[in-house]
Amino acid sequence: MSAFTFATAQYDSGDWDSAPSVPANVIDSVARYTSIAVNPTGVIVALSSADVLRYPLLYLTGHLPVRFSGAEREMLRTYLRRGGLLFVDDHNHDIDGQFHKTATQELALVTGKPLAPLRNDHALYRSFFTFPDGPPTTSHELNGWGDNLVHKQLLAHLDGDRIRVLYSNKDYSSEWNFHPDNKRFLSVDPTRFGVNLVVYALAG
Amino acid sequence: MGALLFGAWQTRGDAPPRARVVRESVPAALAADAQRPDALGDTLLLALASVPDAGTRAWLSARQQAGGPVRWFGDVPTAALTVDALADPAGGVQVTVAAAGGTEFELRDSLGTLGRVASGERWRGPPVVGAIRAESRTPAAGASLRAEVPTAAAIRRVTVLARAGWEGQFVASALESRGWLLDARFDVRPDTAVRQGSPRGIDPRETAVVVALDSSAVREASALAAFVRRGGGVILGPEAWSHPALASLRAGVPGPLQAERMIAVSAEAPREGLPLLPMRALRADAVALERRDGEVAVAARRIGAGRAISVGYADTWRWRMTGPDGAVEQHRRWWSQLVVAANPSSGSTVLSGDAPLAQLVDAVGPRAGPLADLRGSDDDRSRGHSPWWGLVALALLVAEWASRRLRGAV
Repeated sequence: MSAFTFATAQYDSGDWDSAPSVPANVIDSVARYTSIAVNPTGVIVALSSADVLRYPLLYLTGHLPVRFSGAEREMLRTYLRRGGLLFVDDHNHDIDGQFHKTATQELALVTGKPLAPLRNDHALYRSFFTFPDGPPTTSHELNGWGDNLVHKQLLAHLDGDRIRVLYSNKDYSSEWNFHPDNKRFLSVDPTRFGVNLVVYALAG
Repeated sequence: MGALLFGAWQTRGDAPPRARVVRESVPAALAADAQRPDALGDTLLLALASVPDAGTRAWLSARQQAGGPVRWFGDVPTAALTVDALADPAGGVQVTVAAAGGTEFELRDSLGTLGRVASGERWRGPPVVGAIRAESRTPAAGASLRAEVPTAAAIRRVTVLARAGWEGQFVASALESRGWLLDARFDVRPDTAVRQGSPRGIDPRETAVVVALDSSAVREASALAAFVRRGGGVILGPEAWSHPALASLRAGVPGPLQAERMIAVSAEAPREGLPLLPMRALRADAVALERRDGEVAVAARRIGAGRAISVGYADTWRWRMTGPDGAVEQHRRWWSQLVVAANPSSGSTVLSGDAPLAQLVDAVGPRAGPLADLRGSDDDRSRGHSPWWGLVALALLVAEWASRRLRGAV
């Protein structure tokens, strides 16, 4: 049986590689907390390439405006229709920011409808660790950076009750982008929600 | 004297039994029978070119049971139609036609043509409207068969056991989106599992089929074996059936693993590129359901009252994600068909259509030998009942009486 591989989406516009340590930290947590077979390194796949279909969980982030090419849009449609799960995180933590405005527009074009708030009792929040209040807060939210808001809910595009696109303004990309050596100094591992995301994708 | 009396008794005044050959209308012959009170004594020899209809067969059976012998001969075209309602949430039927080798039939329902099926092959299709008719254009088959579609068995639950991973996730998703009532247990670590549905004990009264994709099912090995013996169905993925703990359920022994092939697959052969753990040295009771490059890829066994299917393909989720157009539906349908095949209760819904030859044999017995033989044997029997024997016996009796009288007179 193939092992889980963390995949980061590379798109033509914007800074898709703005959080390079996220894959390693999530992979480390998946390996640390679970017995899921996981590849020790992640991969970067072009969103316009059929290679994305080999990775049913895809992480996409950035600060800059997002404009998908026609090929990227079409491949993303195929990816979601076949059962892939796209996790998009706004690295700006800013609902007035360019990334948020353009990425949500692009996703609406791909899925055919705008993203909607995900209820906080969704299976995602208890797939491994339990988050009774919904998405965990980030230090960037609590410190008043970005839009100075604590976002109570994530946004999502669902197929039935199954998440196809998960969208966050909470800036998990910053929260999970720490140097791996610093993890031992953290009182609460912030990547625990990343483990939930992976377990939900694989078994939710 | 006794012998003579016995002979005389044997020649009591009944009309001699006869053998009547009926070549045209069997119902007409039976109607003629009804007009003659002594007709039951005749042996009816039916020269058949086709199987009499159900009403005529009932008449023949009644005649036979009333003491009127019936025998038949001739080359009767034989065909039978069987329609199974698939115990698949998406519905559908499976049609098989038994007829002379290679005969092709056109299948129709109330809305029109469904497709064609050759004798001995299976035709599977979506739900049909009204009864199914199978018609052959081959004169030798000469059959027009009809069968009602039975009601499918109630859909029972399917349980998926796997470690958390893409294969379990996509197999469960495929079955659930097809409409199966699904329970699932995905092991995340040894003491923790994500559960879907209402996981329950492995009991054939509640669960139709267990899909055990990998070695996470090993701790249920004895329960799975008992489940199959009691009438459950099990589908084993390659990592499950190749594990020694589940060896009693597998169809063969594992051959060398064939790695994933990075090739462009077509919709006609969508599993070409998948990793395959082939089955070799199939058990005597195993049947290969699918082969790839000569290797057994899927095989099934009956064990006790249940069934076990071993699947050699690994990572079938890649088929759904990276396969050609239609791969999602193909993957869904393929897994659902495996569940149907592994589900013994789906067999209980089989309804056979008319099987006229079998019913004719049941009514009046098997086909007899050539007509000449039948007549010969019947003539022999008739000779045994000749009235001449009675006359001879009577003459001897008179002679005996006269002899005694004459001797007494002297």
